[in-house]
Amino acid sequence: MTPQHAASTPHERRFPDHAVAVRADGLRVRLGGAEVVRDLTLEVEVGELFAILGPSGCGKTTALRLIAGFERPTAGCLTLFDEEVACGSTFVPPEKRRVGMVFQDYALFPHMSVAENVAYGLPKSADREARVLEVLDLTRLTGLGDRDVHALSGGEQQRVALARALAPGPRILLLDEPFSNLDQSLRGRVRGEVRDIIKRAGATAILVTHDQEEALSIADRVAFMWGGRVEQVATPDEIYTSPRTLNAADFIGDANILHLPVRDGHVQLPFGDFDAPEGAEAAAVVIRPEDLQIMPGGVYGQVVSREYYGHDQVLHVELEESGLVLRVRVAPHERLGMAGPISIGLRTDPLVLAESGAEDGG
Amino acid sequence: MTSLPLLFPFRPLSRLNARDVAAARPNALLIISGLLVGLLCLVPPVYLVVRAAGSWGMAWDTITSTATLRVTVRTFALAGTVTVAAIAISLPLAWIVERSDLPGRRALGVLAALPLAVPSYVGAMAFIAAFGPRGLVQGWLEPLGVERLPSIYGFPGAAIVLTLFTYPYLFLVLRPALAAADPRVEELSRTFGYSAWTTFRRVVLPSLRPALASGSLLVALYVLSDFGAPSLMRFSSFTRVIYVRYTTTFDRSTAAALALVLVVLALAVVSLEVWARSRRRLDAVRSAGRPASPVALGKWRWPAYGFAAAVLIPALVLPVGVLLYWFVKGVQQGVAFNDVLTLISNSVTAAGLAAVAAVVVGLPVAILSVRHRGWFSRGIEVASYTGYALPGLVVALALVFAAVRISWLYQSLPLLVAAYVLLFLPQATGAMRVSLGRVRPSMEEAARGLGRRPWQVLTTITLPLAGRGMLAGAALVFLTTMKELPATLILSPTGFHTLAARTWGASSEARFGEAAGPALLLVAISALALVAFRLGSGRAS
Repeated sequence: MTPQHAASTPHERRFPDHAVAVRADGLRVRLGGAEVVRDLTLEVEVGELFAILGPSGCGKTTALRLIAGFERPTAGCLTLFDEEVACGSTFVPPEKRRVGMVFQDYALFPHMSVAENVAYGLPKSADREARVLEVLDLTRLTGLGDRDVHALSGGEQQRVALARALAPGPRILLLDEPFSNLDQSLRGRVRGEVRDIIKRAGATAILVTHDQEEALSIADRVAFMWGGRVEQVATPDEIYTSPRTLNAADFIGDANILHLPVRDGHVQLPFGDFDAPEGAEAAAVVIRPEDLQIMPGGVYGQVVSREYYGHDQVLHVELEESGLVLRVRVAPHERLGMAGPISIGLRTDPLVLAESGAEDGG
Repeated sequence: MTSLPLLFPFRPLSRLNARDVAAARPNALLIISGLLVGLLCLVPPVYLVVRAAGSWGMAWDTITSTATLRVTVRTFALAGTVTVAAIAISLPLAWIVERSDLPGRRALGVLAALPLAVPSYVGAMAFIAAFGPRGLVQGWLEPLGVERLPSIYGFPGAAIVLTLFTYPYLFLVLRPALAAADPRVEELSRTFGYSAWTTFRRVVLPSLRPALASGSLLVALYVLSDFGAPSLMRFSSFTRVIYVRYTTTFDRSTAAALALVLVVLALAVVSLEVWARSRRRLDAVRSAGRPASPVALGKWRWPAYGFAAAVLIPALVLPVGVLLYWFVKGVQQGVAFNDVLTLISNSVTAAGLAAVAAVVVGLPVAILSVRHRGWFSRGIEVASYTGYALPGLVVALALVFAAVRISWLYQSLPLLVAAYVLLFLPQATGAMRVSLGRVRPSMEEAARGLGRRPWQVLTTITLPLAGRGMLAGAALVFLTTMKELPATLILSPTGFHTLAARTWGASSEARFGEAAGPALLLVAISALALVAFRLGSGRAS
């Protein structure tokens, strides 16, 4: 087992023929009077591990259920492998879509053994048993086929759900918050395993999560959803370093966010003036704590408190003159008293986003 | 999502559940079968309206008369008293069985449900035999100079008898509810410094409210519609008054008008329960996967045994003892039981057909009410209760009225079975609803995603998982049908005698020796059905 935590770089990910597994174009869903999904537009490439990331209630699970066929869009079109499955009056039911789904609660069939669960989606044929064994092997469940699903640990139950979904060889694997029912200590390991299994099965997979660490560490590409809309689709490093919206910047990772007026096309920071987007009257400046560093000749400030994480620590520094309090990530061995002022500066130019009047929240 | 349901076990239905409910639109088959069931259920009330409208003036006078008001008040007082008394009996019993360390609590769990196997008219007969004038107790006391016992007839006798033989409805509903209550919630309450008693009152009791509501409904409706026990105890309840009107006057419109009043009152009780149930959603509570640790009773175990004995002796030992006594006396006097095998076969056939039919007919109702909440499902659910709330007599006459033009149907087995289904449908739907509620929608969606069509999902996932509930529902309908009297008497095909009919026929002519044999068989077979019900409604592993 060699968990691949690091995400691949874009050019490794992209297949030469650019085959598209899922194309969602302006999908909308209304549930119980509320428009849960307002604009789902994205493309998932064949063989890709794609994550949909967003806060609770942003519509990400509904997006997954749309692709699975458990929800019918009120507008927009959905194409799976160049076949229109939901568009206007066209609607292909879930059983005809050849997608596999792993539910958050796993939804294992309690009246069946592990092997019977896995075999459920397979047609009755001679090689059915062989396929079950093969998939149990792949998911490291060898020898557990006769077990009762109640007698399994959480991690094992999760792998049964995965094995069951993979057994019929789905074109697309959908995973709804698959790790949220696992202990924190297990999650990291299981995540790596699952990524490994999916990659070895050669499946195209879409994972839904509200855990940014999960999305960034496992996915080839990430779609950020907010208030029923896809706000950005990008690789993990791209979405982290260049979030296109304030919501994305705020939700993904840690950030100092400063709301500032724009004067003559610039915003003024203690570290200097920076270009604002064209035509913006107000701007939000996004500074990651790790983009600040202790350096001579910077802006002086006082350490007012400290969060210690082990692998690093975050200082809260109150700047002189402006009175701004910024979070600064420094190495764990820096021993800084609370007494004297320190000097901090920027490693890179901060991200400056135009601030629109109303951002609707999820 | 792990901590939220624990802290807020009673989440409002509206938003959080929107996905489950809105996503699954009922398919055409479900809608059509639901509509058919609803229409079938409306036959008796429509019949009553037509009858009453036949001479509307008289019907209206009857409805608004003070005599009717008196009967209404009297009947409601009986239903209320019996319901409260049944709660007072069944709640402690259920708690002892599920939550205490009382030695023998498993046996108590079986025994405490058994009075359900005793038809209320048999119970009333035994009660009169024991405590009535010139009864067994008076006989024992005569050497001591006691010539008269206080009268047991009227309200007190009817209330005692009905309580003793209907409390198991509540007991059976409360047991699983107590067992399923999340012990973590109680532990949490204890950490806030509340005593065990306060915790029970403020945390456990509210979580039992849906079970209390549905169990009380079963008890109250049973009391409203029971004919045998009030008649024997000479208490003029609504049903008895209707029966007397039907049999003593030519014009049936006044009896129909009275029955209509009863339907309206019963529907009011039902909608109260439906409302109480829809307000709270308990299946959202995640089980801790661990039962609560039993409470050590210590010296309190003796009062607990005393309480159990105080219930079981009159409810179980007395009727069975009296029946055995009569049986032995009857055999000594040379009573023959020639056709007893035919009686058994007729009873089992009719009750078995009714049980299967009620499950088949009840399935769409149960699916609709679990999976597709809304006015449509609720309407059909309420309609399905009308027959249950009606006296068997009224349902039987309604079916006679509807079938009289169809000669092959009148006094045929299918019509009898239809009457049973109308009368006891909610027992089947109730049991199925509970087990259908355990089938998570995501399981069915997983099956769809694995390439199965909706009907395949139904046969491979939903029905196997709900199978226990279907067995439980069938057993309950079987049990109740075995005991049913008025519809059986009116609708049975000529020459089709059942155990219940023979018991009633013989005992109403005071031939108790002859009645005891069929009655004992009736109780025994009902007890077997009750065991099947227990197996069916047992906790899913």
